[in-house]
Amino acid sequence: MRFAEAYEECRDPVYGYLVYMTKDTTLAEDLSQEVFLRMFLHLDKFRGEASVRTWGLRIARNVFLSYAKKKQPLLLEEQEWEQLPDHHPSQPEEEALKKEKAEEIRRCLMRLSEQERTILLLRDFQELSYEEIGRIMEFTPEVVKSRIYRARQKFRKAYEGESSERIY
Amino acid sequence: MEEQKKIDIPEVVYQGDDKKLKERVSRFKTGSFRIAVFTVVGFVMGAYSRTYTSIGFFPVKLILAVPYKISEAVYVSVIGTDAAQLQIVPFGSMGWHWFLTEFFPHSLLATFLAETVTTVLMGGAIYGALAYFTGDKRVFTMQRFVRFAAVWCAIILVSIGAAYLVNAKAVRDNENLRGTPQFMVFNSRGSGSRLEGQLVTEYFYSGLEEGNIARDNEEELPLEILFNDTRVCACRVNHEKQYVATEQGRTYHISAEFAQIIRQYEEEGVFPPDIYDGEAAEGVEASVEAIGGIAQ
Repeated sequence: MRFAEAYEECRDPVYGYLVYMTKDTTLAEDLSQEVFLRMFLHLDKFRGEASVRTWGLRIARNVFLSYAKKKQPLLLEEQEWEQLPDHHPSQPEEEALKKEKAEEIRRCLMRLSEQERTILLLRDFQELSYEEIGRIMEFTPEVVKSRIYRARQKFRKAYEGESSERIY
Repeated sequence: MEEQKKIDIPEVVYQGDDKKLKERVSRFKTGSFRIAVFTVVGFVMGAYSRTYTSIGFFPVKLILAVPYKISEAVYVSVIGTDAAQLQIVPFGSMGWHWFLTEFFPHSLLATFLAETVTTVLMGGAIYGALAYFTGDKRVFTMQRFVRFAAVWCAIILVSIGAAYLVNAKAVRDNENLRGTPQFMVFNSRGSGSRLEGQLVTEYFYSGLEEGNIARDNEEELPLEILFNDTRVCACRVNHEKQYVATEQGRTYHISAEFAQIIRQYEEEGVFPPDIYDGEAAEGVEASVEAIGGIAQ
């Protein structure tokens, strides 16, 4: 596989995953650069056992974990969205309203642990199979299935909490 | 669990320039090219490093000397060689002077590995490392440098190991007096002549037999043997008791014919004319004045 093909395949999944994990587009861009460098350096070791997207996301997770452990351990914990530094807060009001729901979802995602967030993003955002998620997170498909279940439950609880806060 | 509805997470699409996401890849490519160029320059510098003594301009001399001096330090000072053990008469104009190195004087190949190959690799590693540090710090990180340096260390260690192995084999072969010999025969007055040829080789090997011979050091004369044009052994020969002793003290009986050649050279200063068997006596009688005391 050529790097250009791998890049095309992984650009949005990797960037999207990192945006959700960091809540910072600049940081997500920076970490994506590192992910693509690692993909470029290790392309010869990619044997095609998993899809290139799975491989890219696995690297993305490792890059994220390594960054978060060293520089921002806060990103690994369950956080209120507002507690995290926002590097792009000045959205125009109209656009912000449009994106209210999306923002709500992001907010709820940040209330999950890193593992729960990752597993939900890989399943519901990247639409990977249990096997593929298992390869990335080093779990068996059964464990992936049960973790997804629990993460969704937790997410929904957080989401309902958000909604009721909004109503009252 | 199966029926659980998936969460509708909004899509995120990268809207920036692809060049931005591939920036580190392109920095890596240009940085790697620079490292390769510097490494090649380092190889060339390493190859010519030995000539630093002939350079007059000090900064150039200094830069050029680095790989050789590091190599020298590793072999001579850090690990150590058996050069000091070789009590050899300087060969002077006899053409064997290239053996007289501080690296591995017993073996030309080991000397080449130590003095040239290791030095060239040192040059490549040093200049490659310099180029590494001029690269983008986000791409050429310290962690990656450790791997880069480890690979170079491994390559250099292999060349060092190879030099020692080759030298060890050369010394072992010397002790067994194995190979096609050329001799440098010395008399007790300190002059020496080169002796070689098929007949001489036959005389040398015909009666050669290892034995536990009681040595008579007073009557021994230096006999340096160059085997296969690549190995040197500084032996001692006693024509009265007809034996030759190697550097490490192994003794071999020699034939009466070979002992006679040594005796004649000691008494008359020349070799018997018939030993050349019609061969051109080029180089023969090109005696050198030994520097007193070294071999005696």
